[in-house]
Amino acid sequence: MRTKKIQFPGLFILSLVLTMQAFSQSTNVILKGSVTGASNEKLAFATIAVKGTTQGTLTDESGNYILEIPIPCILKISMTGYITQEKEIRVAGNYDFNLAEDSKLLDQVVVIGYGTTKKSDLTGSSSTIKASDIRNIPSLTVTEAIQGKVAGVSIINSGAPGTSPKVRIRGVGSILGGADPLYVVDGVITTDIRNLNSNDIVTIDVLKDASSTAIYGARAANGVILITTASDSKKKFKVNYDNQLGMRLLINSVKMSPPGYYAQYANDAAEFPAITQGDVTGTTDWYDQITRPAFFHNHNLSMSGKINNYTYYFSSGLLQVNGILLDNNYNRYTLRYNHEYKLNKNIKLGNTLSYSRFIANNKPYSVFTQAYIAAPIFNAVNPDGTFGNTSNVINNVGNPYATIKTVNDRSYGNRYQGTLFGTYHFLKHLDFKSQVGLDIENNNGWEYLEQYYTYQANGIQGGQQNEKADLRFNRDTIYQWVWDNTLSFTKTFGSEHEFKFMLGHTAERRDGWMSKATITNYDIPNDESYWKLNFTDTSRGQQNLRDPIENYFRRESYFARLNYKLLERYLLNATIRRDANSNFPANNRWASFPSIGLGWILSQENFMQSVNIVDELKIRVSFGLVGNDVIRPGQFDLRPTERLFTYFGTDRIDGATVTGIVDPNLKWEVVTEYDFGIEFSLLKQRFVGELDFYHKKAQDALYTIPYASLGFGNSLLTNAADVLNYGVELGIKYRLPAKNEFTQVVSSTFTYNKNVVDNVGLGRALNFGSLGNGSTATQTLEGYEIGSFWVYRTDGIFQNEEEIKAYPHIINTKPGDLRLKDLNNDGIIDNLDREHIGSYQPKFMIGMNYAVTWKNWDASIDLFSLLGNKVYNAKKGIRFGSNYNVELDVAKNRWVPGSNENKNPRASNTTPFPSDYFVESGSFFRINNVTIGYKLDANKFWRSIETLRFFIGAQNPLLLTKYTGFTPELPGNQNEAGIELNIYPVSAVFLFGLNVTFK
Amino acid sequence: MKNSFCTFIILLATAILIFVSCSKSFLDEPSRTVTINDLINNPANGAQRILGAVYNKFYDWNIHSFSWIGVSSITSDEADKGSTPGDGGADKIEMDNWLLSPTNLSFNEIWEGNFEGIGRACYAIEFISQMQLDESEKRRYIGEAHFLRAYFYWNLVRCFGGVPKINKILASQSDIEEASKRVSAEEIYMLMEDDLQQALNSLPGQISKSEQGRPTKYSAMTFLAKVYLYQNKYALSKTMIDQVVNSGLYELLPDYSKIWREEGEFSKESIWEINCIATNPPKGITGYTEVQGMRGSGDGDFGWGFNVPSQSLIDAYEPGDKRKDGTILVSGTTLWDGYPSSSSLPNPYYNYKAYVSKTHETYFERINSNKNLRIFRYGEILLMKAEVYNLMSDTTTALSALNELRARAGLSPVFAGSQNELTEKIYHERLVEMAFEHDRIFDLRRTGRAGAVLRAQGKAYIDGKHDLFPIPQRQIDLSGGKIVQNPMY
Repeated sequence: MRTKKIQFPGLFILSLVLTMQAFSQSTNVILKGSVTGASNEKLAFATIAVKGTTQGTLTDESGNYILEIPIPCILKISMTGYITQEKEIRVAGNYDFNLAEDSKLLDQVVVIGYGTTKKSDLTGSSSTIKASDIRNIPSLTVTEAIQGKVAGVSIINSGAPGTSPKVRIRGVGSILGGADPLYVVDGVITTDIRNLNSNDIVTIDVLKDASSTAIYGARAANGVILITTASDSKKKFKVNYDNQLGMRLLINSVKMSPPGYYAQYANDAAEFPAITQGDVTGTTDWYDQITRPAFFHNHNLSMSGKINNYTYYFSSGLLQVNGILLDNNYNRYTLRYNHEYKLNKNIKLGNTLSYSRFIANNKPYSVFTQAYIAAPIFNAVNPDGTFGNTSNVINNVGNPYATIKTVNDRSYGNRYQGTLFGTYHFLKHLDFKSQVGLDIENNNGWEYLEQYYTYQANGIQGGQQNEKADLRFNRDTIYQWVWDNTLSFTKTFGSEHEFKFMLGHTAERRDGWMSKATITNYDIPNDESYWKLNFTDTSRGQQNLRDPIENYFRRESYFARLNYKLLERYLLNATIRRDANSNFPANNRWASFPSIGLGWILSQENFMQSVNIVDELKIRVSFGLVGNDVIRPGQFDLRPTERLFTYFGTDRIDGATVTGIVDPNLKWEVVTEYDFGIEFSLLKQRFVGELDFYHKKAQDALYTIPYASLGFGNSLLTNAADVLNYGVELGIKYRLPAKNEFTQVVSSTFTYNKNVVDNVGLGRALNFGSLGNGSTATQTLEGYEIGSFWVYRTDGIFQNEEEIKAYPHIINTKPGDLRLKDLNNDGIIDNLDREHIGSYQPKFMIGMNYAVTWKNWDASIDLFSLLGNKVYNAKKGIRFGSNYNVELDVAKNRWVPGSNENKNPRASNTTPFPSDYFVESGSFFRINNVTIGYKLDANKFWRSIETLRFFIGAQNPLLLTKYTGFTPELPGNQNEAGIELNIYPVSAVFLFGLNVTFK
Repeated sequence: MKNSFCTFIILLATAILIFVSCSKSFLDEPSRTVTINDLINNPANGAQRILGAVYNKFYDWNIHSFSWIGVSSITSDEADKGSTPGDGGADKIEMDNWLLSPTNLSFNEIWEGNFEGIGRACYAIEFISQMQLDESEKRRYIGEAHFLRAYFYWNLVRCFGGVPKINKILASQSDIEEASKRVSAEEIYMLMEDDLQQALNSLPGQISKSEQGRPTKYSAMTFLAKVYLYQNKYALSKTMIDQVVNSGLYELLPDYSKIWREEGEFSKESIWEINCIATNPPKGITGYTEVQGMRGSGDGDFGWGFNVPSQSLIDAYEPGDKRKDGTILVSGTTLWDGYPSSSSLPNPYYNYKAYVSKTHETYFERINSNKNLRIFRYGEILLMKAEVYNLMSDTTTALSALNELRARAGLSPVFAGSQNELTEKIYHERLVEMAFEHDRIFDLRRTGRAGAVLRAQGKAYIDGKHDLFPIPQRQIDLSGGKIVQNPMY
């Protein structure tokens, strides 16, 4: 089944011979036409041959062919990477062929660390996403678009413009050491890929198990995502233009109480008439007031081609996204120039260069919480245009609208990222590659808080105000370089032993400074031209700070990889990497990370040849050690804290002292990972799939062992925890038999992951998850998932005083309050009665895609579901007794004397205890994307157009969940994810788009 | 072409070899921030910086601000919670009504804040000892650190009784685990006495203007007098009081109401105070005046309005007592700086000692005010003098001290009844003289009157339980249970 790879020069000669032979035939006709690929791109050098003969030809560089053949005959059209097509020819004429891409699982070329290989040769678990799969999904980062498309990868998006989603590969592997995967963009290692234009990306390879990731050693514990941007072009010249225009709408908004319900609730809660008729001076639905339908558009123009030995790709992109929050937006401009030049047959030089700039208008997301608690009885804006006052004796909450309008928080930045590389092929079997990667970032921000006042309806000035302007300005300059050198040796001994050996060295450095300047309480005009500060001025009370960036480092590593394949069926891959990081103490600086993987391609065995249903079948098993070294500098030695200012007389002293203890032997987290996988392809490649079982154990995980506050900090960062993740991943794809010009493909991913903290230092739990009311709701502790909700159990509502007296209760409990269970039966309700009741980490993730094409039409739908996770609806519980507003349902369904309500408590101004009353199921099912496209035969009226496609689509148009808050999709630190407090609600997008290719 | 490329490869290989051979030093990232050795090796400013960090603790929210106001003032009979009825400031309703639980956030803040101060003081003692400094300067700095450490312990021992005893740097987790246990209150008092003796022996009697905020020998003596008094060591207390009085350095400010104003800063009456500055860049006790400021609107909004004078305090002033006007800010009246306060404020009274004038005093912003916290003043020396002399049966001296204060307050002198009657009079005088100076609740407990006084006001004070505050549950949990709770909580 394997298509043999033929060198181009060889093919030329072959085709010449073939063509010459063709001329010698007698009853021949001339055929003409073109061969195109999946997205209608012309295929150069495709083979067109008469079946059963040696006659045939190749298409030229623009994908056209002319061929003289005898008729009738069967024509066979083939090309590497595409499914071979056959057609019976009876008459002469114009025959165009469209080849479907061969998604033959095991034959794909996949990107691996420091190289590429065939999927069939892998012994590890990795998944490849092609750019074409996500091209129509509007997204800032590619990771947003692949939610649900890769088994084992959890992606939680935020609705806020300009933010990256939280990506977790095979569960949360670390408590404090960072759980984000490593991104490698064309060889440059990074943690932030917001600068990348999705349209420039060719493939995304997600490396999941140790056999694939261990080549990245100490940084691979959370998985690796390799991103390859466009470079070589098969075609002479091509221009692409893509755009998307759309609207983003707030869906699933929570209904707050209107003035009537609000006043009743507030008065009952206060137990005196806190709000009287006279206090109601307006009606405002604060969510309506601060949100809007938001427009976005995205344009990409790229040009690529090939001139002799030179291939190039040039692109520019513009993305403008408005947030659903008023005045919140994010704009990104990108440029990319990638090229490759073959100096001669042994030497290749090239580069990838990209520039991106972002400009954002930021607004504090705390206004979503403000809008939740702000009383609906005031005006956002008074009739005379001034801001309404909401923060007074009645309701101690700022006017969220005034907050949005008076905070001028802008940021902008430039990022240059690129590589320069050269490869040299010598001594027949050796390849040397040297690559320098650079990543230079410059981020700026300023925040101007203007002078403003708020007024009550009666004209009296309100408490919310800013008497004098404040101005902050910051500039971060970060640079990073990496220099990789690899030498590989490739040779096949006999025909049985295929050897590939690679040896490499890499060095890397990241450094930079953050500068800040602040002027507070000073009359600075409300005029942008005054809002730049230099960092040396000290007039106007300007404070200037300059600090190193938080994550500077120097790293050096050696690595090696052996790939051995015996008899085309037995595979052995082994890697080792030795890593050093300046952020560890000298005695623990170096560590080694080996891995080994074994594979067996059963389908190559003779005994399998008779099993027709199976095209390919491979089993593999791998084991390896990988590390997690995400740690800030200086954590292992005692460093004084500075800027502890004090005044003696009028002399200001910059106090400095030590405020904690350190572990001088701090070291890496080490993850031991096992993987067992099966890859298969059945029914003539129509049904393909990959199944993996994995077991990951992080040892020596970073943990801050808490201890009593005795003046020397209250926790020690050390290697003192184990974290276990195990699970199953399945990815399948089924291509239905094509019928009546219908092609249909169904693909699905299924992930099960179990996370458990195995052991923590001194058994002391870490509390996280601030609820904004003084208490916390999550705990990381041995025996439970990281960031488990740790709450009181409730058992209905106290209906009367007698019940309260008869049952343990908290001081001040009144009828109508939640009855907290005394789980340990000691007669006291305290922390010992709290229980761990699940976490935000999902048990199951399911993704599904259905794609169909019919004639010129195409459609696809992505479905996504998270199951088994919990969410803490913390908004409901922030009460400080300042007559905060509540949800309409809470006001309506609350307990009142005699109501016998046994679920929703009475109106109360007491800060509630963290309890299961606030914990809800976070499971949801969602339509992630729907797209319908139509390809116009535009080249009939404009020859330069190769393809022209229009499409309409929707993102998140439907969400099914039992959760009563805004969104169950809550990105956050692993120790406290899933708490809905200051969350940017997720929104739905409806869009129109266009793809056009010129030739 | 090929040759040049080969040359390139050779050069590259050489470069890699050089890089590899240099890589040992490549991995040594020099420190970007100041190190301990930088401080120790530069004693000229290193000592000031390390010591300055101890003083810096006084400004923090968790030591002298909202929590402390709650713990040391709202709990007592002189003050009510204030603010609006619904606004509990998270836990201040519990404090006002003595419904205290070990999870109350304020107690934890007070614990943490003061222990942080102790840690910094230990570092200062240790590091400054290692410095190459002029001996007398060194002695003074170390003496100051001892004084400050005693102050932090003073707050802790009065709140919680015996606490863990930390008198050296804890450098490792095992050090900390070992230290995580309570010692008796007596042991803490002993440590404080040692610290203060050391301070007394090394601090100067007077300081210059540019040293304002630092304690003197007499600050240490006053402190020690009070520490002895709390332990009923009257004779020892008396020697300290006498030395302060006889130094002749201190006298009462003629106008009581000016003690807590900017013009009363570091006055003749002041023995030790926390130095706050409101010129840019400001450094004040975070939120101290804002928490207590009038809760008005617009221009009249000075803060959150917590910790307001109780009716029983108002009633405690004798007719004509000038201290009432210096202590009680009455809503709707024109204040001393001419500011007409609003008559529609949620509370009828506010703490006048926490009022900062925006027009007649240095004012920058609400959260960082120039309000110096007066810790020890001559007025209190006289109160202690009266108490100690009375207990040692020298009624005449006791009366003259007491009447000195009464004279300033515009009140007629009192005359001796029995020793017990005079004791009662002195206690009463303490209330009105030192209202809102974070003394009252501890004074009530010291003299065994807390239960009676507070229960008379309807508070749920339980003798034997409430004579100490609860050890913060969080600290008990963090110590793995080695720090044990006070009785009955």
